[in-house]
Amino acid sequence: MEAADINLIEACKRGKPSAQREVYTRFSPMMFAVALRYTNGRADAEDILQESWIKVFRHIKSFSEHNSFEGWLRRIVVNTAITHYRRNQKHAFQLDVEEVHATPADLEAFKELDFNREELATAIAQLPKGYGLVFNMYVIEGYKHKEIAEQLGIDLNTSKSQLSRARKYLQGILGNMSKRAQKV
Amino acid sequence: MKAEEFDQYVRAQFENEAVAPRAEVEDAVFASLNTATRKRRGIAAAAILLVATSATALWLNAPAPAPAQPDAPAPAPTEVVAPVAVAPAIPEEQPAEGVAPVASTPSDEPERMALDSKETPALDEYVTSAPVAMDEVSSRGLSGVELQETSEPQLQQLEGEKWVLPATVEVKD
Repeated sequence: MEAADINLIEACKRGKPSAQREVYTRFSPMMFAVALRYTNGRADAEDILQESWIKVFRHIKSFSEHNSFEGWLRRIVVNTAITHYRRNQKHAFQLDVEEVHATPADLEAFKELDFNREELATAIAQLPKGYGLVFNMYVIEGYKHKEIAEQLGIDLNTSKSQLSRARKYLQGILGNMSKRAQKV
Repeated sequence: MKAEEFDQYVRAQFENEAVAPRAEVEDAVFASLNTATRKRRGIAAAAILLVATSATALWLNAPAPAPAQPDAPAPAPTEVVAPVAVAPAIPEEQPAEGVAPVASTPSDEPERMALDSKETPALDEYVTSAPVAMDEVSSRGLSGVELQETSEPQLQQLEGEKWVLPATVEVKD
């Protein structure tokens, strides 16, 4: 971490408003993108972003400069998104993730992947909610299965099986997208 | 394609992802922060006020301290030294006649109270009888007791009180 960033964080720890504004301006786009991946729409993502920033400024004194500030922010967004999901879910998490979807395509079908970020984001957004959570946490955020299991309150093996199913489901979606693209 | 390759491909696509939120979100965040800060300050101020009020109430309800005693020049020996110091040496079967009025007994309390009252004749009588009593004690030849008269009894008047000074008794082993 650069000295300027450390000074900025120290100023935030002292509650300096201009430093808080600067940190917000720098990191909000990254945090909002993370929040969008865990929600179905911008409104929910904005709620998660707002809640996350309040947590950030309330607990910034506990942040150590030896760690990655961006990583710390991402974790706060993910945790807030999980809390938001649990609060708003109408069905039990297990019912959501236990659904088994047959996938038309297999991993081996893709010799080369040629999808951009928007296409991938669209495909991930179509995953069942439970699959999407596990896939996002494991593949994109880099969580371990143990952490995912603890965060979501599920069994370790459930986390592993959900990830496997999520991959297949996603590849099915991408395969269909690819076929549609070839037809066009 | 293996699972790890697929994961790596997806992860690489989402590196440095950024989507700008609406400006209204920033206003909402800092409005919430200001509200929270005001609440915290309000709670802190209320806590300080509560502590200060409690401290003041305790201070007001505390019992008043005893009034300071006037600085009398060594008052203690005057009143009780002679009888009290002599008393242990005298056997209880042979009470000294002259000592009795001066002895520190419950009946002595009214006389002490008289010191503060306006009954000055009684006080004078008490004061003048003290050396006599001491002489009688000395004449009875009490073993181990030696009465030293350093000077004539002095009367000091301090704020309406009269004290007899000094009368010293040394007790030999």
